[in-house]
Amino acid sequence: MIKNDRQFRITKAQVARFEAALKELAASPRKDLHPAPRNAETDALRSQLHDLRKEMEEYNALKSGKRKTVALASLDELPRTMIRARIAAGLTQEKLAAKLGLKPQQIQRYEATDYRSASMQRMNEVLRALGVRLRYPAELRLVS
Amino acid sequence: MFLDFSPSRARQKARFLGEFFPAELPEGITGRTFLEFFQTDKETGARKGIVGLDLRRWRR
Repeated sequence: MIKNDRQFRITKAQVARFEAALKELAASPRKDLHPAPRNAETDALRSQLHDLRKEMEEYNALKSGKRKTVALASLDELPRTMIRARIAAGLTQEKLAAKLGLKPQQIQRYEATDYRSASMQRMNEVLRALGVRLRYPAELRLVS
Repeated sequence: MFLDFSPSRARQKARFLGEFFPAELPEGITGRTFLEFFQTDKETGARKGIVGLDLRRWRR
């Protein structure tokens, strides 16, 4: 997942490299290779390129502010939802930190580690600062 | 399974908890592209160290 503009730029440069590699492979195919490994190389490059493009698309969609909701299937997904919410709110890590009275490095660390070291209280503060509303009903089940 | 890359190498990840990107020659364009990719720190864009295993020279 792309979490900030710097990562977006790095990913964009990677996309260009993968595209160039695919172009080069297409321009001078290794005729000495059996088609199976030759195709595997191309497929591997294409597959990774596809993932990188998807990540860029998601970041652009979030930044454009068009995405208003995200589905949350479990609490494990909450940290990344918070990062998505920050991007969708048009806030940089620095601006979110300022809203919370924290150092920018603190939010950078939280996001880099998917909020692993953050307390529930801190997560709540971040959610409030971002104006996120969690509206999914929790399903209750009997567990024997 | 090593040749099945879609979607996002899901079958490889489920079976091996990892991914396999073949490159016939490490110094070829595919090998170089992946090496550079995995050596790039996504946070900073700087080069980072990675552990390389040469499977061709590996013996029990």
